[in-house]
Amino acid sequence: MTLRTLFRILAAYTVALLLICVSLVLGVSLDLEGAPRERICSIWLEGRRIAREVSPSDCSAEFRKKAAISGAQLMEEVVVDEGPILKIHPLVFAWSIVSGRDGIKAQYQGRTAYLTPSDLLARQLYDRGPGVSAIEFQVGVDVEKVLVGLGDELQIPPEEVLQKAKVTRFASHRKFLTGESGAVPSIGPDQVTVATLTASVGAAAHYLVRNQKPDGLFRYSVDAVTNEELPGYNWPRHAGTTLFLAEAARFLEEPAVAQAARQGATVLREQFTGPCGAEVCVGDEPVVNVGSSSLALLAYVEIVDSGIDPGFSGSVRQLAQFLRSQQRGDGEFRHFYDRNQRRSIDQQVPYYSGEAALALFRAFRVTHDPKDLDGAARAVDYLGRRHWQFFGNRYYYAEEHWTCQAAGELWESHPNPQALDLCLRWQAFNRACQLENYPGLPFDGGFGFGPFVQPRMAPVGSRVEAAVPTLIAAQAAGIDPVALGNLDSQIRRSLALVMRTQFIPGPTHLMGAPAVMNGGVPTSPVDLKIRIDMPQHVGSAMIRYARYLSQSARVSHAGGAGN
Amino acid sequence: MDSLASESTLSPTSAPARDGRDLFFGATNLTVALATGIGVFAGLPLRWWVVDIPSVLVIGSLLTAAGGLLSGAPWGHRVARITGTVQLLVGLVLVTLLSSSVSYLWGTYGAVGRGGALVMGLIVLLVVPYFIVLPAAQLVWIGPSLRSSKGKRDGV
Repeated sequence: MTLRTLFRILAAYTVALLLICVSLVLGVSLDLEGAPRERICSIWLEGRRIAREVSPSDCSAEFRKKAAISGAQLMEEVVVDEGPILKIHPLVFAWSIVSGRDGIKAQYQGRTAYLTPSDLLARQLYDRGPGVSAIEFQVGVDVEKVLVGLGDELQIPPEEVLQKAKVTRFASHRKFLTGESGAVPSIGPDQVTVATLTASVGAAAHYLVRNQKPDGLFRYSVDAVTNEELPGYNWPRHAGTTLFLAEAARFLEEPAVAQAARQGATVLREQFTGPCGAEVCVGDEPVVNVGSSSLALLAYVEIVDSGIDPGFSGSVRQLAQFLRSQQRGDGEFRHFYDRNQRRSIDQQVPYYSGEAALALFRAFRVTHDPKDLDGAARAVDYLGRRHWQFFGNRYYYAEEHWTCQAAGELWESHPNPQALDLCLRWQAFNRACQLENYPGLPFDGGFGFGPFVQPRMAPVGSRVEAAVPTLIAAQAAGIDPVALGNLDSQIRRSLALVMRTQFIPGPTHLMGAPAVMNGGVPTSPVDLKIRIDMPQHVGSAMIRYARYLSQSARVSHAGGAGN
Repeated sequence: MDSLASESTLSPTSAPARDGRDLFFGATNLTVALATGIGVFAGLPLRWWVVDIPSVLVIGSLLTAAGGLLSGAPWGHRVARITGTVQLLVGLVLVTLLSSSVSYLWGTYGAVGRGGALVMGLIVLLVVPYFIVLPAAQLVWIGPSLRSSKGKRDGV
């Protein structure tokens, strides 16, 4: 082949490829501000769609009369544009639907079926496509269930929907015509104030109180659509939730919340605490982890320190002693203990070292034992200086939220510049991954790598939980004000997203029991499952930032008064 | 050296003189074969015949061409020409599929964001050097086949 021939071939190829790509972009994109087409009117009652009418103009008077049932909500979804879906492979089909925004339409033999965004949310089909379910990462819709849903509406088998129906995606504008509006509130970073944060904290705490059982356990994971409790339980998260309730009780000064915290701590102490050799630890397995004990210790410290129940002081001392017994000479912790063999297992997994460091630091408030403070300082030193050291460590990070809470809180007594530097770099990394709004998707403040998956609330909450003490420590360390401003802005954007997503009241038309769900924080705006650590991380983060705002206001006021 | 002139003085079965370029392209063919093998059979988590079978054929032909070029076998250049053509076609198909996927996602989601665009762009750029630039350079170096160049000479 000559160079000239090669050049001609590649030039022709490039032109053809550009034409293909531009055609694809234009052919599949939706105009989100297009002219109204058909209007899909739906009546929702107690989380179920009970009637639907599709018309070229407004919902008919007759249909509106049907909606005049107590508790019913009449919703209008106006289709503004329609586009193709490639059915060549289930993966392509799944990825062709923008989560939380697109609806699906199927036409067959003169009949038309719609799965609107509300229908897809009610069936929990967004972010349920192919992915890695072990880490709860799924992209796109659940194609099988979409086809079943469309097939039910068209009264044909799902396979025929795929093979014979014309299936398209559509964009729509949604509004409620009657009933309580479930519209997403318009909350931006400027609306993140002490007052709004306090209201959100209260709602989150009340959700947990409402969903605590008489034995002190929580409804660990609840489907907000059906109000069903999902299987599973996790003791570290139970302890973390108890911690948040104790913090919220002190913040809100509410006895009912304090009582819920005490109940959560009591079940931990009485039913899931036992011997670990000569020490006492939390867990009911033959091999226990330090995470459960660390989070339980944090909860007990808060319960004692806030005055809810000083009777937990003994438990504080016992668990602090256990954690210190698990600590190595270099400051790292052995994360497991084998009760049968009565020995520690020197293995490490994520989170536990940071949790133990924070727990020992806070335990000092109750024990006044310098060994606890020293253990915490040595742990933070290890985590800041030796733990995450390799070439490329500035471009990739683990989950450091517990480490950075410990490092931030320890700054006043044991400043560790290396740990603070790690935490500031981690937050800068988070900021690089912080999402902005996409067309039709109010993602601003979340974390991720694009519009393919809706942002999860637990990572948002945990990053803010750590960002606030990092901000405070960085201020004390005299870090550049521009960097501090960026971190503060990052926090506010994240908290605004959380407040937009929290069920106050949320999409009540999709809920069987909206009063039970009020205040809950879902896994994401489209995954309406409430697991207890969502309100925990988010609530703790809000308390921290509300206190920071109050403190900053006091300092400014004092500074102004002194002039 | 003009590959056309050099081939016209040789019989169809004798080997062209081996030079540094034989070694260079022999080595690159070997490298791309290894990278493709690792990428497909170690990197991809699932087996799918649509990818696996063409990959085996590509790897086989690359290894054969590498062997021919490095050993100076008489069939080395011929095989390298075929392999280079196949490699270039695979590269053009891959870039087309990847670019189409990026375009489809861009059209569907409106904006894939800086991170998403960067990752996708990097993937496309990884394919271009190994499956477009290298085989194209190899084809230009080897030049047209002996039969086609002889035919053109006779036709003048």
